[in-house]
Parts: sequence; structure tokens; C-alpha cells
Amino acid sequence: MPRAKLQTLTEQMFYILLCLRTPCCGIDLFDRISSMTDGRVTVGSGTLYNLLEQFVDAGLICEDGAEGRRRSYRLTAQGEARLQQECDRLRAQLADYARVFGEEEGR
Amino acid sequence: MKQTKRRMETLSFYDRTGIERHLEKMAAKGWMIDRVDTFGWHYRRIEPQTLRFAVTYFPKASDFDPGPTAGQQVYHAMSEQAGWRYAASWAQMQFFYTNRPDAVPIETDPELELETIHAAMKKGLLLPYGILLAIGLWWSAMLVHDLWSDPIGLFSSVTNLFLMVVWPLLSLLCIVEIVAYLRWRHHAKQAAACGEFVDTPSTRLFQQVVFTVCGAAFALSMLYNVTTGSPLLRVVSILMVLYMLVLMAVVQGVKQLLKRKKVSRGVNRAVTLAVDVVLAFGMMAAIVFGTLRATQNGLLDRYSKPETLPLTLAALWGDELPKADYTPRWTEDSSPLVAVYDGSEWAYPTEEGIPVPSLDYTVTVIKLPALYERCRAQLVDKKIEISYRQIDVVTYRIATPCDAAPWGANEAWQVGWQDTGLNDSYLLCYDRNIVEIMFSWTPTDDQKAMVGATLGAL
Repeated sequence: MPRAKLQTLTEQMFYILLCLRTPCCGIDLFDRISSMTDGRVTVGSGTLYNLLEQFVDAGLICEDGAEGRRRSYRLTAQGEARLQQECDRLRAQLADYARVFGEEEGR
Repeated sequence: MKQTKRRMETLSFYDRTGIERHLEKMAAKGWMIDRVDTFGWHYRRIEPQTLRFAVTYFPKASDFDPGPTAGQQVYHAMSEQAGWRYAASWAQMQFFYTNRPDAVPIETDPELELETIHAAMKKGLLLPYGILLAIGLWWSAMLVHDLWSDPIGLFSSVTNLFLMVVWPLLSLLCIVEIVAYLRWRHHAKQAAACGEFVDTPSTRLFQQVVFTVCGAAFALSMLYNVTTGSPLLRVVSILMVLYMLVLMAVVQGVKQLLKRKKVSRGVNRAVTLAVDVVLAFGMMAAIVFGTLRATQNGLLDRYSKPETLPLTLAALWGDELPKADYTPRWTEDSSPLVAVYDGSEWAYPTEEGIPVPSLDYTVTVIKLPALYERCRAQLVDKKIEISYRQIDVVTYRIATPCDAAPWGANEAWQVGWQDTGLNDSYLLCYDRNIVEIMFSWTPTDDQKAMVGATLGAL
């Protein structure tokens, strides 16, 4: 089930949602993700299409208009909350990391 | 120079790795995939070049779609943006290619790819292979049952021998395909959890062997029926091949025509299915009715070569045979393993009221010695149950050993029915032949010897 699967976001999922903070056409997401991550994260077209479908089904994003084969999407409030949740999780991980390595450096 | 080419490919539906490698080899030879249908994979000529192919799955697509769905068009546009050009699709399978060595793969999330492959597989392989497996196992079980209950009927029919080869092989093919897929899926799921893709396994060689054996079995059985069968069997064999070809061509033609006319998926599916069912039943009814009429009208003879009756009343009776208009009948059911010949001769009583003799016999020739005991057991050991349904009476055949010497046989039985007792019917076992013969009179020793010399040595 998409909702259960989307409980933990992969890097690709994270950046797709992040890039949809402002409305964007699916096709343009390749460039947006690439420039945001300096080419570190790449998303395949099939993966992108399927993730967008799953995000729409899960209510994390919604369609923001379509023009021919170009469909635009934007983040929903639910998607924003999901991103926030993921950020909190990542921050907690970083804090744990800093605490462990900070303690070692302090000895 | 040929601009198009058609090939029958033995590639599993989920074998994306094998299909990609194959299409890359074809492109290097100057052939680009154009479309796939019932009659094979169609290629068009291109300049030989090094291309990368990607096979992906779109579970919501159908082979009845008039073209790429709206969702697929968006998918294709995205792929084009990423440097992948759409080549063709087949039901849920899509083929893309690129000449850019640095193009980002279409699938970059192994877990997501597994999901789409599995969703497509449920439609594209698991359901049809599951149905085929169920039919194959049912047929195989029926054939195994016949192996015990009616080995003579089974081994004397080339069609049955063909089915004995084809159905177990097709069942095995389904099992291998389903198990290979599920095993790959199991490994791929474990690897996907670590973000890795796993190449799909190839069953190509196995499939090629299966289809080659099935094709050879079909060709040999057809050849045997057409060259050795009765006129009726020859015509029916040819008609059945035409039946299958016409059915496939018309159904495929209707589907493609409706796709070209941009008819919706649901309408196309319903019309194609309706045409399939109507045509299948209609043509089968026409074949049955036509051959029956042709047989009744004497255009086709289900009795082959009546002049070759190996044992006749004239030979048995000599000059003492009452004058009458005797009708000989001779039918053959034969395969390279077992042949069953039925001969009979009878006549209406003469106007003077003199009774006329009649003769009826069946000769089972076991060409493969290994089958002799099974065929003998069927005829000798087994009680044959005859059910007269109209009057709801069941009676059993009985057999009493008798002297085999006059017949020149190895074993002999006099047979009859439990409710009427023994009559002038005999079951005779020779080295290779088993003869069942029924006289309308009690045969003399000379006549018995003649039976041995003719039917025993047939």
C-alpha cells in the first residue's frame, strides 16, 4: 500500500517532494532535482512517473494543471507535513551522530 | 533488401535483462523493434548501431488499447526528456532506447520497479500461465488415466501421442516460468532493500527446446495423419490446422483493426472476445456438420480401403458361402506404436430365407513390444463394463481360457457376456497381435487356423 510504503522517504522521494514546494511540471523535475543536488541525486523517468502517481494517490501532492503531455504538480499540506516529519527524522539522526562523535572528541 | 522482419522470440515476459540484451544485438545488426503481436516480434531495418535498450512495465496498459494511454504518453514524454526514445510496447511491456551512454536509467528505484513488474506480471504472465497450467495438468491427468484404463486407444492415436508430448511439456513450461519468476522476485526483493537491481534469469533455451519439440510433434502427427489416415481423417486434420490459423488471424485482425479505428479498450476486448467465441464455435460446428454430411453423402469415407480386408467370409467358407450382397468394412486407427484394425463383413438374409454368416474382428497390432503387456492386460484381464443406459442394465464381459493350438495363438479365450453366457467370440494373443473375433457360427479348426495365419500375422 502506498501510504505504508511512504512512511520512510527514500532520497529520491524526498527530493521530488522538496522540489514540488513550488508547482512544477513533472518533466522539469529532472533539472530541478539535479541542480538542487548538484547532480548528486538522479531520478529515472519511470521511477519519477510512478512516484508521482503514488504521491498523488497518497495525497502528498496534487495536480496543478495539464498541458498536453505536460502535467504540473505541487506539494499539498499533507505532503508538507510528511516532508517536515522526514526532516525531523533526519535531524534526529544528525543529532545522534553529533552526540556520539562529539562525546568522542570531548574525551 | 527486406525492410521488415518477423521473428518468434522465446523470451519471458519479465525477462527485462534478456530482452534488453536481445534488442541491443538486433539494433547492432540493423533491426529495430517495431511491434509485437500474436504472430511474433516485428522489426524494421535501421542503420546498424550501438544502442542501449530499456524494458519497463506499465501495469495499467492493455494489449487492447488503441494507442498509448494518457498516462503512458506522460511517461513517454518524461522518458524522452531523460534521453530515452519510445520504440514499441506489448501489452504492459514498453521498449525504450537511447544512443546516450550517460542517460540515467529509466528505473532508479529497485523496489518500485519490482512493484510495477509484479503488477504487470499478474496480468501478463501469472494469470495466462496459471490458466494454461490448469488446462495442461487436467489434460495430463486425463492422459495418465487413459494410460491405465485405455492404453490401446491412447497409443493407437497419433493425436493422443501428440497430446501426450505437448500437454506435459506445456505444463512444465508454465511451472518453470512461474517458479523462475517467483525465485527471481524473492532474490530481487532482498537486493532491492539494499538499493540493488538484480538481472532477470533466462529460460530462453528451455523455451526453445519445448517449442521445438511441440512443433516437431505437431508436424509429425499431421504428416502421419495426412499420409496414412482415412480420407475423413486426412480432411479433418487439414481442416483443424486451417481452423487454428484462421481463428488466430481473424482474432488478431479484428483486434488490430479496432485499435487502428481508435476503439476503446473495453469495446475492443468485448468485440474481439465475441468474435473469438462465435468464430471458434461456428467454424467447429461447420467442420463437424460439413464432414458428417460429406461422410453421409459418400464424398468422404471414414472406412479406408475395404478391398484390403485381410480375412473374408469367402476365404473362410469357400464355395459353401451362401450367395448374398456382403458388405465389407475396414477401419484403421494407427500410430507408429500401436495400430487397431476393425474389419467386418455382413449381409441381409437372402430372399429365400437362408441365414447368411457374418464376421467381425478387431486386430490390435502392438508395434512397440514394451507396450504388449499393458495392451494385453486391457483386453484380457480387465472386465469391460457395458452400460445400457436406456434400460439401466450393466453387464460384464467374461472370458474362459480355451485351446490356443487350433488358432496358432499363444493364448486363447472364449468370451461372452455375464448375462448371456459364452458365444462364438474369441480373444487370441499372438506374438505381436491381439485378435478379437466374433463369428455368427461356430468356426471349424480349419477356419481357426486361417484366422491365425491371416489376422495373427497381420
